[in-house]
Amino acid sequence: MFSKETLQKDKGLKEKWEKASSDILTGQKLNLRTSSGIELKPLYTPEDLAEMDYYKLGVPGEYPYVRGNYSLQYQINPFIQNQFFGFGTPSETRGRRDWLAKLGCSYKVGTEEQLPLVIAMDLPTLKGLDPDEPEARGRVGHGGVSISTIDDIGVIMEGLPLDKTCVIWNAFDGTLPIHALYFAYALDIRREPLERLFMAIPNNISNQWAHDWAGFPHKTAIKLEIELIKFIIDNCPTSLHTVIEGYETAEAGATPVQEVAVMLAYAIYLMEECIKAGLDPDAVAPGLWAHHHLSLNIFEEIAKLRAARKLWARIFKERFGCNKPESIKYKIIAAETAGIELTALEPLNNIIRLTIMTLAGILGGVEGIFTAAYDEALGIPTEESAQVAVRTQQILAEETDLCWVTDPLGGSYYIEWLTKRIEEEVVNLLGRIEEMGGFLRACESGWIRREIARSANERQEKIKQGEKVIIGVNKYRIEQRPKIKGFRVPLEVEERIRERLGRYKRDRDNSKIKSSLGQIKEAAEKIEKEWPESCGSLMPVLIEASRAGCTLGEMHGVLREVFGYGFYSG
Amino acid sequence: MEEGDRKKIRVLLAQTRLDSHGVGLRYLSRTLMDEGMEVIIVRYGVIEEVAKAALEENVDVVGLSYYFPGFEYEIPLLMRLLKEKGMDDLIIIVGGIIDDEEEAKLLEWGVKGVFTPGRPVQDVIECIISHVGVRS
Repeated sequence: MFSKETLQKDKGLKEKWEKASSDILTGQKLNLRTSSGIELKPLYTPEDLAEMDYYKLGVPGEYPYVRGNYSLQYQINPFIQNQFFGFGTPSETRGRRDWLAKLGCSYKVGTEEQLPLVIAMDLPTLKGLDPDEPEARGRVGHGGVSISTIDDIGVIMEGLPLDKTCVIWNAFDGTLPIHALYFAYALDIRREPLERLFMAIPNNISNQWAHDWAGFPHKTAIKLEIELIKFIIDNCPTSLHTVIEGYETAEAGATPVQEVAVMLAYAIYLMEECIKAGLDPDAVAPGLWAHHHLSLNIFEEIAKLRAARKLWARIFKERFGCNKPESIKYKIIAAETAGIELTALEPLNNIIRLTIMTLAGILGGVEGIFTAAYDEALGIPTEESAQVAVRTQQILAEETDLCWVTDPLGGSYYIEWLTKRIEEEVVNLLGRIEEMGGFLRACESGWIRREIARSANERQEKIKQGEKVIIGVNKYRIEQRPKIKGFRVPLEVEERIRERLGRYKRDRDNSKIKSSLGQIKEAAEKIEKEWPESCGSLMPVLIEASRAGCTLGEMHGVLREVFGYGFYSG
Repeated sequence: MEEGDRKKIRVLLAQTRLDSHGVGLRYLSRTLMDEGMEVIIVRYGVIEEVAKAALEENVDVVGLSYYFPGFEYEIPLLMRLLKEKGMDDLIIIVGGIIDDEEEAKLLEWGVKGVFTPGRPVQDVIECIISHVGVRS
């Protein structure tokens, strides 16, 4: 990247600096390491980039996209301001939707500003349970909205243009039935063809593999994901169909290097399985999008995001032979501020932490950012804390000069060096996973879970020893503090939700329910036994069952019965 | 008392299988094992399973992790079930996303320790030893 003359001069300057710094240190070691364990120097100079070829770095909008996916990015389209919301009943969630819209929380679709909808669901909904099931007791409407019927979807979506409102139903195991309910709502209530729907679908059914979560068996989860992928490719051309999940893995303890390596290993596995099922890589790849973690180590995060774009582009171009630019661009629709960096003590300090994490996303050139609320360690956001989160994004996007220049840190000796180092570390780890037989084997053997748990324990140990500083918690802690009050959904809401479901079940035409569920069972058995020939047979019957009035729990219950359900990752 | 004579403290750590927030529970289980305790982890569907496991495993401590207010329903029920099984001498501790009002309520119900994010893990160990150590 530099001329011989520059490198020669750099050597001279570097020697001067080394002399000066060794005088200060007098034999002391600094021991600087990123959270992924990459050893750092206290200074970077052209020497560190001597091997780097400028032309391979490229410009934004060109392969390998390390500097970003677009020739012009935030200058034209500021990052998507995502807010994750939902609690209690669909009506309460609707109230929060209106509040966020009023605050101007938005992203641009063409020339219009729209509120992105990212729906948080309660634990029973995420796991495909209706609120009237025993396991749901005490958890209905807490931490997210309870959704079980087409009517619930209707309350949340009422009045919104379905072709312009990017909706993310973040449903984990409930993904297929929740989307079937949404499709039924679009077709029957809104009279909209499915091709007009605009979604970023998490389709994160295999997510439980990375952490302690019950779910479908590995081989089933991937089939269900591909079933939805095929349906979306065929029916909803403007939607993104599958998230490459890194945030949850990192929240479970993965370091940035582990986060990217696991994401890529999963993406490779998913692509291979899609190809086996007869799908064209260039049809699948454009619908993939990424969900990343943003911690407080902003330089490491920026380098991570840049390295991930580069590795993705290479894998999709070289390994899968993708030709479309949309296939090889790694779309980070959701970079999310780390929950594990937030504290329950002195919660207002989290506003500073969240600002820094959001900044990391912007400097990393992502498409969209989730900024959490400062009271996340206490509960779900209040109107006030959600407002601060929206304002944080808006201030960074519109009051500062952050969005004027693309990849403003590109060319920094440190950032380019660290991007390269993270890339190398990810390639190493990915190589180890492939040697083990790939993502599925690494999951089934429990290796991925163990590695992540080890990192999580190391992090906790560093906090305990004070090596990782958390202000107000393990350093400068004071005992006097105001009372902490989290936002809570009143407990009687659960009863109201159950009554609502009871009324729904009484009022629907119950004559078709049994046969609809029977058809789901038949299709699911075919998925189980006749894969991949049966790919494409389940989604249509789930949609028909939703149109007939089946609930989330009824449909998911059939899937659990056919496929099995439990803990499969050690 | 000699260290070797003391019966090992047995701890059951429980979390609903609906919840994936397992970092705290895993870390705690490791730390307690390092302290010489025996730890059993249960991922349950309904709280009745926890009461059953506590009886079968004959534990001294039941620790429950809550991401959201499931405890409002489950803790009183668990206490009643344990009492019915004659196990009301074991202690219950709770951790998770819990605010001050909820903490006060749990303590009033008879929970022996409530541990929210940011509390040192040493506090959990001390709480267990101060209550169970006396019994053994």
